Amino acid sequence: MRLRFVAMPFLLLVPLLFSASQLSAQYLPNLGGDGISVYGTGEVLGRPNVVELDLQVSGKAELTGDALVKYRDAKKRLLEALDKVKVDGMSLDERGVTIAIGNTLEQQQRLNNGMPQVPGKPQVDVSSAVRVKLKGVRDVPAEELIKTVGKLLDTASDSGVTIGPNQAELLRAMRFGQQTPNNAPVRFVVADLAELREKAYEKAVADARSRAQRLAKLHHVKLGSAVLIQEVQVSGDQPAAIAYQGNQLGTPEYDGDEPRMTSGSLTGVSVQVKLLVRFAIEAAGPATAQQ
Amino acid sequence: MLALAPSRFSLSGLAAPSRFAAVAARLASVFALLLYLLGLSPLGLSRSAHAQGIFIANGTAVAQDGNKITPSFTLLTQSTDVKDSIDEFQRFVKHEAWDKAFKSLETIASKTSTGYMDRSDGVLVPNKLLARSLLASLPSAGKNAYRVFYDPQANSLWDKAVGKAEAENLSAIVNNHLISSVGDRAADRLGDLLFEQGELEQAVTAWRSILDYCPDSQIPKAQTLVKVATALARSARWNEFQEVEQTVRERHASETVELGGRRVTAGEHIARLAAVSASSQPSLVQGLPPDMGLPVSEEPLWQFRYQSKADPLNPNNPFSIVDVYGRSRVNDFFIPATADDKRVYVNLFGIEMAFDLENGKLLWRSGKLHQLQLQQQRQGIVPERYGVKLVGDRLWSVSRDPQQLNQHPITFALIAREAATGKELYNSRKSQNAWNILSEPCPSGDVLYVGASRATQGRELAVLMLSAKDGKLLKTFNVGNHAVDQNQIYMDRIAQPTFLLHGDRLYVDTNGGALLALDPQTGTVEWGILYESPSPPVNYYPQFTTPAGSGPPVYVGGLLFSKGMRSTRLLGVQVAGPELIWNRPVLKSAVMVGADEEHIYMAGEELTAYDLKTQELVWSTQLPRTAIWSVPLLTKNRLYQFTSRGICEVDKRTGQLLKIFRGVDLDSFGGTMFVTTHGLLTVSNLAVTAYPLSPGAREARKSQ
Repeated sequence: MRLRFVAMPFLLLVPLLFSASQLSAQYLPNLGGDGISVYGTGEVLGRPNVVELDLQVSGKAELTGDALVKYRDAKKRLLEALDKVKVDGMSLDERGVTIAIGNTLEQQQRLNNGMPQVPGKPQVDVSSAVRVKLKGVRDVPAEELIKTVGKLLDTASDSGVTIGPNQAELLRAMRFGQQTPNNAPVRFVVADLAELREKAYEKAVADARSRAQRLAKLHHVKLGSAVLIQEVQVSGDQPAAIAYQGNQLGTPEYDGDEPRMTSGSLTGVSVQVKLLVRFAIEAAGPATAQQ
Repeated sequence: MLALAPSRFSLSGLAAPSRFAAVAARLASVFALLLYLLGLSPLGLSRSAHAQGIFIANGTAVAQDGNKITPSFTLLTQSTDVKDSIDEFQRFVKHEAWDKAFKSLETIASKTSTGYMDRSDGVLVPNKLLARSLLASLPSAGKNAYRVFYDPQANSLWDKAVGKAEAENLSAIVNNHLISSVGDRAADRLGDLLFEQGELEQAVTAWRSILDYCPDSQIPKAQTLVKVATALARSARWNEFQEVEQTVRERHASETVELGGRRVTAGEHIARLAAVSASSQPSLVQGLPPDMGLPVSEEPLWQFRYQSKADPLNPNNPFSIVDVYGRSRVNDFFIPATADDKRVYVNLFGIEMAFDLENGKLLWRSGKLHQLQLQQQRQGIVPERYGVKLVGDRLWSVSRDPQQLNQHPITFALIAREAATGKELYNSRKSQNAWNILSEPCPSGDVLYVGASRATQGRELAVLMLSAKDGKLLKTFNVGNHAVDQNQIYMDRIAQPTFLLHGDRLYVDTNGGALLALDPQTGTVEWGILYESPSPPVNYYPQFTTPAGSGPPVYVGGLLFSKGMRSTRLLGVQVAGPELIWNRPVLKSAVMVGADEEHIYMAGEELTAYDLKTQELVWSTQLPRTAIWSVPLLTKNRLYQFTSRGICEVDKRTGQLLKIFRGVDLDSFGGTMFVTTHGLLTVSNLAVTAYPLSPGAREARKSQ
């Protein structure tokens, strides 16, 4: 009986140790075995080919019917106004309508301050984000592109929609110690990553071989073929943290499964590929007078 | 499920089918106990949720269990013996002790108190009106008994109702003996008299009393309905007319009635009236100003900026106002202004100015702008309390001495000036120093009505009746008391009453939870409605407060609409009765703009239109940010709002934003606008700007 209690903690530790080893295998480079291990990095600068604007449309009222009418009209007026702008390559995409029931900003603030609550009525908030996309902007002169984006922002502001986080979101962020969203309402996107990544891969492979070659030469060994290749970083892949975006403010930046890169400013976006490569060391030839 | 937790998890009630279940039950009990100790008892949750379930029944804040919530405004209440008399009356009626019941009723009717009784539907009425309602609710046996007791008195009045005494005696019968044998005939004749005198509203009330209180009257119902419909049509109360029209068409169309000595068919007569309704241009729309095309040129005629040099780091906030914590306050309030065809007048924190409309020249001012040392005033500047109103050639302003901005309690005065010269003619600080002015004046002929409280009595609300000539205090009407001392409110806007003078009634929204109908001559309150209006916080907690939107009541289609500044309800009251028809949720920040035949319009955080018939929200338009409390201009087909991004022109029918005129005042938060013969004027927190009218607007203005 006593032995059972003594052995129990060790038995519990076994799966933990096992999972820890699995984790380390997943995230740490496998340095065991013979050969030369190097990192190879490839970088290509890509100019954005898409511009995206996230516009918040909402309708808030005590009666759900009123909130729906307000939401319907806000969206309709925004879409009509944007339609009149007539910009080539523009498309609109509504992203997830949410219906929330919450208290007014005033009540939230009273709650935050620990003040007594006054009997208030919850409000129904129907909202969604309209994503405006401008495609094919890679060859548009920067000045002209900024002008077009400004025109769209003006149109949205005139329609009364919120650009960026609204007051309720900011208050909530303050309450829960969240960061205010750093995803700008206007984003410059490199959406055609495939070709750029190919180039970056080629550069990374070349870089790895070059580094390994240098090491081999310095160590007077002959570099063999690659025996292990591991991707360390590939620009455009969704980070693991994306799973938590539901708790963050604003509209998630990602857009479907397509790899893409975004920037808040109209500059070249760096597409990087980083590889860990282990090369074999070829056996030395027979000894000669020179060697 | 939570409410059931104790019984589900009680050990005694469980058969313990297995050891695991018993352990689970024990754990659950411990968990439930923990919840209870933490104040999260499932039962507790259930109870509190029930107790906090609030709804508004007929305008009175009532909890679900029937307990009334303390209102944020109280009217003068009735003495308890009257309440006892009502209880007695009902008890005697139940036991058919008619003589005693009528004695109780006499006690109620004989009280001369100016208080009110809850009619049990949220409407507070004077005792006499209540007595009439009680009589009308008697069973047939009670009404017969009443006639036995009171017919001699009523008949005597009826016999003497001739010549000059006719109207008075008929009124006495209608007011005191409506269910007597001659009550219905007296009401019918009184209605005829009032109709002939052009008192259409009162005529409708008299005739409607037959329909409401005399169901067994010998006067044909069709005849009374047709009379009511005729008066409603004459006074363009088409919404009410349509209701009566429908009743006549459905039930009395073929009946013959006598009108003005002629026999007519009810259905045909009402159809003729309806045809007039369909063919005539809606009267409310006729009363609205014509649409104005927005200016063609962005170039202003002239502009006066309050700051000679704007701060490049903070161009939007020229006034360094701080709250009680010393925190900067955004200048998103509007600057009170008014205009006539010669001048525009501005009240800038107690410094009044007049500008020539033609060239923008400063004609006069009551002080110098550098006198405004706003940053040092930690007691809180209250921009919303300043006001200005032009009545004839006098400019009436609600103001505070710029040199005494730091004094507490904050006391405002009413000042009258010659509009042409700015010469001060009257100042309530000198003649009625005890009064703290709370509202803009409401003019009516040679008198003005203004809301006020005594400077040291922050709870009270009175209506002062002043001579428009010299400001002499003619009468004081005490209205009631706020639940919260308005002098102790630091972080929110205080309740400022608004007025509407319509027909022979002065309607007062206290903006603190009560809507009242007053006799403008005597101050007698005809009826009152207490509506839900949360009391403002009386503390120094720094907090966000939703802007409170207020505006004067609006009378349209036979309904009086009102929305208290802190209330989230739009009330619509049928004044004859009175009866609460609308009690609709709206945003707290909503401000009433006006109405036409189809819609009532509200502004604030968004523009909205509500259907007058269905009460539904027809459309909503979110415009760019604008100065809080500013009200758009309502014209025949448009709404114009001066926003932070220019003047927006909105189609009144659909809410569609048609055009934006940017202008040159784009650093401001918007504000108010006026159309004059000289141009379009905008008054913002930064400047007064005049633009040339579009040619179309100029023509429309000339033809007005």
